[in-house]
Amino acid sequence: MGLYKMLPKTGPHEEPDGQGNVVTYAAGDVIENDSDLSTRFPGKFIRIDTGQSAGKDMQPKIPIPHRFIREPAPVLVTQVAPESVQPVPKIPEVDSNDVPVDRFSTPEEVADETEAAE
Amino acid sequence: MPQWTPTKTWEGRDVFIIGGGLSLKTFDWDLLKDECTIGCNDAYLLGKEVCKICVFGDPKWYRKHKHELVKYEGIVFTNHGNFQRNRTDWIWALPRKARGLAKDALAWNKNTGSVAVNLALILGAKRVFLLGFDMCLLNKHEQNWHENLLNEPDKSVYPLFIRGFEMLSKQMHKYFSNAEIINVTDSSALNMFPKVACDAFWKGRVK
Repeated sequence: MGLYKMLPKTGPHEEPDGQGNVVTYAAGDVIENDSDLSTRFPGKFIRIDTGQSAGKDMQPKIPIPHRFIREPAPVLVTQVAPESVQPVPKIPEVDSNDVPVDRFSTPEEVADETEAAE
Repeated sequence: MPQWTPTKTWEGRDVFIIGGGLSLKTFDWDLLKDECTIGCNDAYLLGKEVCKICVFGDPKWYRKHKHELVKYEGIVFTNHGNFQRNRTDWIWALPRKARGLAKDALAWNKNTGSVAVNLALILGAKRVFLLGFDMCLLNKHEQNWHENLLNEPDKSVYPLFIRGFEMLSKQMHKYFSNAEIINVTDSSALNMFPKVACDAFWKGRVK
């Protein structure tokens, strides 16, 4: 005999009461039952007289296959996705005879500097 | 329906997604018995040894398969809103995001394959391998490796699926930057992920 609580957002749930009647339960109801309702209806009931945690019981048991790989085996890709090819940036060619222009100088300042240099 | 709290149960692992494409018609399913696998829709028919998790997102498919699906001993996931409020207590649900990817929901992108990929990534997959993602009609009269036709073969659906995967791939870097998706489907029209020839892949896979 165990004590089970019906979890939020579940139900209604119909269950025989052991005396020939079928009782309808709603979320939050506490039910005393001979069978293990938390196993029969995972996610719907938790057993509350054994300290069972709701979070643990409500999760699926996802299997972990036996395969064990020390290092992920490399995969020989036969076709590279177009999106994964990074475009090569186009670097403008610079003519070595070009004189760099200071964008922040006014034409007058450039003329002054040229005269000073002469 | 119980809500799943995401856990990285398959962290760092290779995860195989079983699609529905005809290219898997002669596939040796035993190759998947020791692997982490997520099957789309009818893949549950392969049993839990091959298909550890089954995902679906289409209520029409569920209505057709529910009496058989209930006998499947693996784990069933969905992201469809209708199923998050009903009383089916053996189907695990996560909220549905319309496009892209998510860490606490399963993005739909208008195809179940995309839902399976999102689930694999949430479970911690390092590499996600796509099997049977033909994304085209290899045969005019057949579109799946199984024989449970849900809709008549229609090549116009594939561009929609491919666009869905484009939206998914654009958010890979944002949500799962350390993982990669590799397409192990011969003659696949899904070209945004690196591809590996099926035979070469399985020959090179260390047992």
